Amino acid sequence: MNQLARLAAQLTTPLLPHDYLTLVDPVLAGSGFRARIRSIQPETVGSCSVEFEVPKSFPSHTAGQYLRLGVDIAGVRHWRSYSITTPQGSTSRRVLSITVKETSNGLMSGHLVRNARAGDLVFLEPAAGEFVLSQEPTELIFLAFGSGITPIMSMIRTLAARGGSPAPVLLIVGARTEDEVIFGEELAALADNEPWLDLVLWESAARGRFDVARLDQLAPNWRDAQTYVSGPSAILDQAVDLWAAAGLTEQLFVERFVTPLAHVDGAGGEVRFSRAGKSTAVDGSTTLLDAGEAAGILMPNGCRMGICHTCVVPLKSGQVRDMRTGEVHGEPGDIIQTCVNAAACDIEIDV
Amino acid sequence: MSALHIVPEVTEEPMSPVLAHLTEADVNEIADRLDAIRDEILADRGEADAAYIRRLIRIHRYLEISGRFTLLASILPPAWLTGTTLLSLAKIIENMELGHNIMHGQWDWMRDPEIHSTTWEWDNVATAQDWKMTHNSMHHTWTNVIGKDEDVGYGRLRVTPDQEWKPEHLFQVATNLLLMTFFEYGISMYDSAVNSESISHDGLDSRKKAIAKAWHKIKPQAFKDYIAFPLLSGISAPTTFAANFTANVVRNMWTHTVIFCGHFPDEVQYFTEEQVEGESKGDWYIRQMMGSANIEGSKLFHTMTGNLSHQIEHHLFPDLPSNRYSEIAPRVRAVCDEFDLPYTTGRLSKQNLEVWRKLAVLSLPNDVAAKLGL
Repeated sequence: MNQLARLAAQLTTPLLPHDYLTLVDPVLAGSGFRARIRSIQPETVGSCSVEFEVPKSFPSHTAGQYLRLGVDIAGVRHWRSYSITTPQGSTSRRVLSITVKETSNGLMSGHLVRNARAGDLVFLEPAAGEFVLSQEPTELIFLAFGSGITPIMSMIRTLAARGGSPAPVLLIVGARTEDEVIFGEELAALADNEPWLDLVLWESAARGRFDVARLDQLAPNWRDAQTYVSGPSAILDQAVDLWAAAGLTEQLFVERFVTPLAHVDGAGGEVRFSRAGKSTAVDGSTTLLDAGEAAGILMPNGCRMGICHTCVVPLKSGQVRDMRTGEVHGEPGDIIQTCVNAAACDIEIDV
Repeated sequence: MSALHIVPEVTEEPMSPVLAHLTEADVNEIADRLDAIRDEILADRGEADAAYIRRLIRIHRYLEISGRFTLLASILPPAWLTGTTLLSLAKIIENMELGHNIMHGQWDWMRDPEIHSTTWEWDNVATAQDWKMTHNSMHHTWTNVIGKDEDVGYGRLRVTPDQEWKPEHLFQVATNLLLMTFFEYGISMYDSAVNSESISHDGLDSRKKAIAKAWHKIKPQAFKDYIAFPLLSGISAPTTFAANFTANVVRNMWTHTVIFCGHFPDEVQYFTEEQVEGESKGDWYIRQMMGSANIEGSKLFHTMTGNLSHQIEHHLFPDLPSNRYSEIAPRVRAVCDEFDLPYTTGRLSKQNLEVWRKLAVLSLPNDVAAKLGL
């Protein structure tokens, strides 16, 4: 088989056989993992579940993990991470679903909620993440706020599919109002029918922001349980502090959807050159190329005016400012022109 | 006065008389106008452009597959002719509208790793890496600066009277015919030579290394076109071999013609290193426009040249998507008209005639040509 593949590649050089096979089947033959959207189901106002059938070769996920989803929007490929909401375990059809809540200025979430259609081609990276269901048969407490319910939903569905949890499970779901609880009906039905599951709904519009200290009343035995928290940073930080103070950090699992973004103001920052293992502080008007060269890094370079694309390197983190247009841009993995971009915050580039 | 030193104080005659009337304010205004055109296209790039390049990629692949399959029966003359035509068209599109333009970074904005300047490799014996260095970096930055842009005659041909005459130039019409036929090999050797010179300080035998690298690229193409597909054709082996050779030569002659008509017609200007010292953005833009020439033709014609028929627009904005050049061409031309700058354009026949006539005239030393009234 390998011989055959090699022979085929010699016939298609410099392209690869799959470049031709994608003419027939862009999903199966394409590079990386691809899928087509099967269906889009509205959940609450401004949120929806997107279902796709993944290739057989796509590695299976553990309840609570997320995947990176790539979508072409206005011709440009964008990548975001979304928690998988389908239960863990084998199903005959490999159908996965994610649930998306539209955020303000959310390019990808807005596209998925409003513009995406069944049949659209999407790109996938295998599931990842450490926020996964414990294998120990201990009591579980889930604290889910807003769209933070998504990874926890996969865990609850997984437990339900297994016929229940051996120990009691308390799920505290926070949302502004009851209507805004994603999976509200499904959760209520589960709580009615499953003796192992207790559901507490926290409507912040009526009762104010949830205070983690309330656990003493809602779940007096929280110190004996494994607790999973998912939602806005403020609540996560509060939980981390509380569990740390109790000396129980290893019993708390936290899922942060937004990594604390560096302060992006276009005014420069610390530039880390990962391969060279060097860092340098730069202002917002020094190109990354100049900064690298000044730091003694062997930077690829060409025209030094943004036309020849010889100087491009991958961006690993942070954002850059295009000095020609002033636009602040960049996502991890983007290939950026170092001769016309300056650091917009602390950044890392792969050179 | 602009930094192009349009009227150099030390010499009596202006180096580029066509630019002598421009003030520094004019030059800055031209830069602003052209920047505005670029910004407008950048802001408007989107789904339709992405669909265009993906469509061209599909067209190339269908042409290539149908050409290769037809040639399995190449022993039949109609199959030979059809297959050779399809394969030639495939190779032309692959080289110009796809390879050349994708490797310029024209489609990098899509962030599709499969249509990206850093990952693309083309069906040409010049490696993507070497070509990007000599073409994108040297030629496009230093366009038509004698001594800096080695593409001015590719180190072999004399294309302006300002280049020193050498006896080898006597045969340059024949040299150019040979270069045209085997253009991809010429480019490969040229890239290897230029790049090995520029890296020769590393103490190793970089010339040898460069040749080994070129061979690494020549071998798979030769195996595919001259061994594997002929063998698969069974009794059609010799005719498939001939067809593949023909397709490569057709592609070579076409790309060579388009490129030469883009840089060597009569009105194109050349520059010295002193002229471009301290050049402003506007000076650079003007040099790109003066150093390039367009070819007129139909929409299909433009696609088959990889839109390099819009050489002027390509040189102003090498990384704008090629499908947008025809749209901005009238606006660029309007800027030229307004500032009384030449905008060199003409039919392929006219431009091609000028190229070959120029090579013939410049095969003689300047004084001899002058005596003959050429």
